[in-house]
Amino acid sequence: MEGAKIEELDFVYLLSTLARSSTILNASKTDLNHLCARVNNYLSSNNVRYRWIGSKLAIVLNTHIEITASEYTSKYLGALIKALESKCFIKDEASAPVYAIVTLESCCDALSFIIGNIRGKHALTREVLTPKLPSIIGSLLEIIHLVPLKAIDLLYDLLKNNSTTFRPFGSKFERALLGLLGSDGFTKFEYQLQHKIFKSLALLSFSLTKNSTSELWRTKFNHYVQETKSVIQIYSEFMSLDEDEDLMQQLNALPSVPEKFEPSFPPLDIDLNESPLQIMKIVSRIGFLVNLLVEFLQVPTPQVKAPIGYLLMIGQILVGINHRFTPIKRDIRDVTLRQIIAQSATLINEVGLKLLNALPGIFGGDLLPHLNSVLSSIDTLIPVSRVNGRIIVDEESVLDNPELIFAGLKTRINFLELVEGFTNMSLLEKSIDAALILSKPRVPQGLAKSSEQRLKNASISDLLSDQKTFITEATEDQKKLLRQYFKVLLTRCVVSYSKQSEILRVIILDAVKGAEMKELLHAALLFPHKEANASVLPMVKQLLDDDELVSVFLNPRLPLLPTKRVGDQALIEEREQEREEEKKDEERPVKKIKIEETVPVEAPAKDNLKEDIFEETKETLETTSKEDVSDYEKMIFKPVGSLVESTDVARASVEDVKPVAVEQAPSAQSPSGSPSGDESDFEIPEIDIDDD
Amino acid sequence: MDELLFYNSVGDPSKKHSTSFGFLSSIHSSQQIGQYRQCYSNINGTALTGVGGEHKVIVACKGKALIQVYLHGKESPEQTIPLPEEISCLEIFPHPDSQRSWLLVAGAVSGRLYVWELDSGLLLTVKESHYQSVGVIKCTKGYIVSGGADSRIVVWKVLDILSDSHKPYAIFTDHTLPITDIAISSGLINDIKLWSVSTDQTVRCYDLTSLALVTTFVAQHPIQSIAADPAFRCVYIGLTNGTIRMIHLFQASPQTQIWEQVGGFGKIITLKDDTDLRETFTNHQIGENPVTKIAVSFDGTQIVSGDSNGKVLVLDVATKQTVRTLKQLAGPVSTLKLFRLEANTVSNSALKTAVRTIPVLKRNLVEDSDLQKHEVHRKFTDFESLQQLDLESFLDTVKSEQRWFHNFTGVDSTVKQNKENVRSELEELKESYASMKSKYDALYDEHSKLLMNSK
Repeated sequence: MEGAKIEELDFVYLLSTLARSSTILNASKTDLNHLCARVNNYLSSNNVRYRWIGSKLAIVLNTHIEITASEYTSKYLGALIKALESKCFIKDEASAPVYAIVTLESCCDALSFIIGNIRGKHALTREVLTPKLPSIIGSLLEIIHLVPLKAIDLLYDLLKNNSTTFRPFGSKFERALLGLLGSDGFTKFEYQLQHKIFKSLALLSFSLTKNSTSELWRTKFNHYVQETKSVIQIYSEFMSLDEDEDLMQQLNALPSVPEKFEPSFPPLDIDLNESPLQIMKIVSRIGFLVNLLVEFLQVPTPQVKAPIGYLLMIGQILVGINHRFTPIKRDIRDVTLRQIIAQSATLINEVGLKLLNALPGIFGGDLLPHLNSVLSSIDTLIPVSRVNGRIIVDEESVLDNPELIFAGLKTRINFLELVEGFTNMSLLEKSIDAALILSKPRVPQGLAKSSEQRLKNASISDLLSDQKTFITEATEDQKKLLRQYFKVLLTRCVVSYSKQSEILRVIILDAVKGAEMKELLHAALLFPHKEANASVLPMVKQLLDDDELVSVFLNPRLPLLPTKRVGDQALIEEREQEREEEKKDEERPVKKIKIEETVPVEAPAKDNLKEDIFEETKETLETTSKEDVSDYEKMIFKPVGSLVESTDVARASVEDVKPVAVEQAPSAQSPSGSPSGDESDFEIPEIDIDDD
Repeated sequence: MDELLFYNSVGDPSKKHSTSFGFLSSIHSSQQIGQYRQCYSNINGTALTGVGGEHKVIVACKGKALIQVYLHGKESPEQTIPLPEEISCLEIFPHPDSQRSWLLVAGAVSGRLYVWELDSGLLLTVKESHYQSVGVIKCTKGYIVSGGADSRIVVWKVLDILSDSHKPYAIFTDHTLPITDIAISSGLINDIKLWSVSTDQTVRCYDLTSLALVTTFVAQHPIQSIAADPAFRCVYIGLTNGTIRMIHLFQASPQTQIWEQVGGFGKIITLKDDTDLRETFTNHQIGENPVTKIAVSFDGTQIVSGDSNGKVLVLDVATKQTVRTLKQLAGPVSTLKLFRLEANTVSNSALKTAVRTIPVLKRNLVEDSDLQKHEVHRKFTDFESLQQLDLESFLDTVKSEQRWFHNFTGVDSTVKQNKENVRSELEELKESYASMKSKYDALYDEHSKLLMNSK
């Protein structure tokens, strides 16, 4: 392992050898020293490849406590910091070579692994980590724009656990993060990186203060709520929001934006005359702020007062901006602009749904006082039309924007999972209809409607001959969502009989087609409708032939085995008799032989099974393990073992003679206490009736 | 694993409650984890959010319109909250699909039911549930059940309680004397069964879906308490004569010899005298102290029972013997709550960083404007898993990263140089340069000489 010689080896093999603890344990002290020093050399080499090799070796070596505890850890940290600081000799940061980036990322990984290893060990932290922390943070801030994901990850970790050391770097980190985001570029990153940036921003905004962190959290949170409100208010410029009273009321209930309000982010510059697409800036900014607000609820905080009310209101306002209820102002005449505004409103709705969607997982039951208002505001998103004076779900519009409907379903699922026996079905009926519409396969509308060609098509004959290939269906994820929704409806809500039959029809048809519907079919089985005359059991049985739950349904059982129970008194007398007999007769009693004849082959196996179960019970109850008690425990728990066996029970209940004998066999002999025979696997303790 | 028992009593007002303690101790060893001073309540009047860490003990003081909150590991109350009236029983409803406490449900002496949200302290609802004092409250999936001295059982749906519905889900009026205790089976929402006991000597089992009275057991003495085996194979009832009776819920039928469920279809079953004491625990019978509370251990092999004299015993179900006697309390035992946890995870002292109090419970009913500003007290965390190197995936990353350092194209773009050649070339060049320079110098000299001469 010297210099370039390492290239002759299979590096992966080397790593896996070093990862084995025996390699390190059996090595001599000099060898270990040599090894560690070599790794250090690689890390501090000027060759990028060697640095990369060094970083990987450092990770593997630090899995061993012997090395983590040695002086080399500190050296490795120093070398890694230097490697980061040098930015791997990247000259042109706009087009850095991949191998350099990979090396930087690998160095970050090694750093985070070593830090994670040290954390929690007080002496090591004090001696090794704390003195190095400022330079670690400094070097990470240098490379944040080169390897943002890893660097932010590690910086967030340090911010969370070492906020005191982090204090001087706070504003620098914040600037770096905002720099990454740019003025409008929040959508340019993948979700994971966005999430990490927001998380760090949220934590940064309050955690670096010395005292009253929770108050600062609240102030910052309120600030962003106000900022969100001020951005939403821009919409009142081109939509008449005041036509929706509820929406206005909710908007007014949010904390008012002071006149000298200083937003944290640069003000939006929108000129609709220049390009109508600039409206999207508002959408993107709202999305940005909402994400940030949600992150405030997912970073570690001291006890804070989280304003659920505001969050729900923001969510409902965003969901409520809808050109059907708050029409676009008449002085906007440009058709394209009007369409773009309407389109942006649906995007805003989606942001609102995303916010509402995140809350149940965080607040749980605390949201339930608001359940009805949330559900009714989501309900407004389902397009309806009036046919013969009846309001029905507008199929065409549903299919036109299925994403929004699916997002709505997802939010409903999350909220309904908090409740049991939800009865206010008027809030869900439209969504059930929409879900049923979406679950059907469909022919593309343009083609289905008319044969008149709007564009010059190569051949319309395909439509006639290969119609199947034109049918579109919901995607796999969407189907999963629909199934989840149906499951929630069946298990958590009291759906009307007709709707439930419709849902069951869809479920069973889907299952017949071969879809993976186990959970839903279970739900259909376990939650039958009160008014249902027919059971779905036969169909479910056919569809899930080998299912355990269905088997329990077909072979219902009690928590105890159907054994013949001799009256206790009689049993005691019998036992005493036996005991006496045994004293007289050293040989096996005659009865015993008879029993052995009736014992079928499975019996010992069954006993073994029971024994295993008892073993487990015993293990979990280490503390209770008092010899005599656990013996009795076996006896008491005897019936529980039977739950595992499925078919025996049913058979026993029908043809009761044999199994009864089986069960009786061990208990009849037990008082003899003789540790003999095949049955001795299963120890039945002696009962000292005399004590009573 | 260990099981911890929290127990306290009604207390002894004659000594100004100086002897009224609540204790937290293990039932499998002699370890006592904590004690709480002046911790007394009506029977069923104490609730716990859990054990250890930041968990709290919430005690409704007997005879006072006060709730005291104890932090785990602290002896004296951390917080005292005044209430509109004296609370006779308390229960905590956990968040859906979570262990965290959500609602604090309290039954008052006047028969009212108060529901607070523990995260915010908002008083979500007050229901006129009973005509007399509420004796016991139990919560299960979506239901809150209360039994009162007016011999009624009232069942509320949690969703109805949160909305403005005034109608309870069900009222059972079969008992003729005060309800003393209730047990509820859990499971699927349409399988939930309710067991109630009363001083009218009956145990009644109701089905919460069909609202039918399934079975009635008639005992020989007024019943004070009930607890069920974890798998509902039997229930234990505590009687006023100091005995505990075990009722098997499955029995072999004498004709067919096949096990079947006991009762059903509204059957009334009279419990026969158990002269052989095969289903009776007599451990509290000395002095005929009524058994006021019973709890069943995790594995169902032991029960913990407390009587009106403050005696708390751990009994073995099979032998009916006393396994352990716990520290005696002053006055009738009012609470027995068992918690199972990993062994040695609960320390005796309080966490330094713990949130010490609960939000103050509001005395005014929540209004719409309060809900708009609805704030919950929460400590947020981000979940992180412990760092462990997964060697296989690590090696796979190494392999994938390694590829950036390798040249797979077969084209070698590095420039190879022969050092020897370069050196000799350099030598040559140097030589020729030197000769050129000397020639140039000579020429220059010649030129300058000629120039001088011409002048």
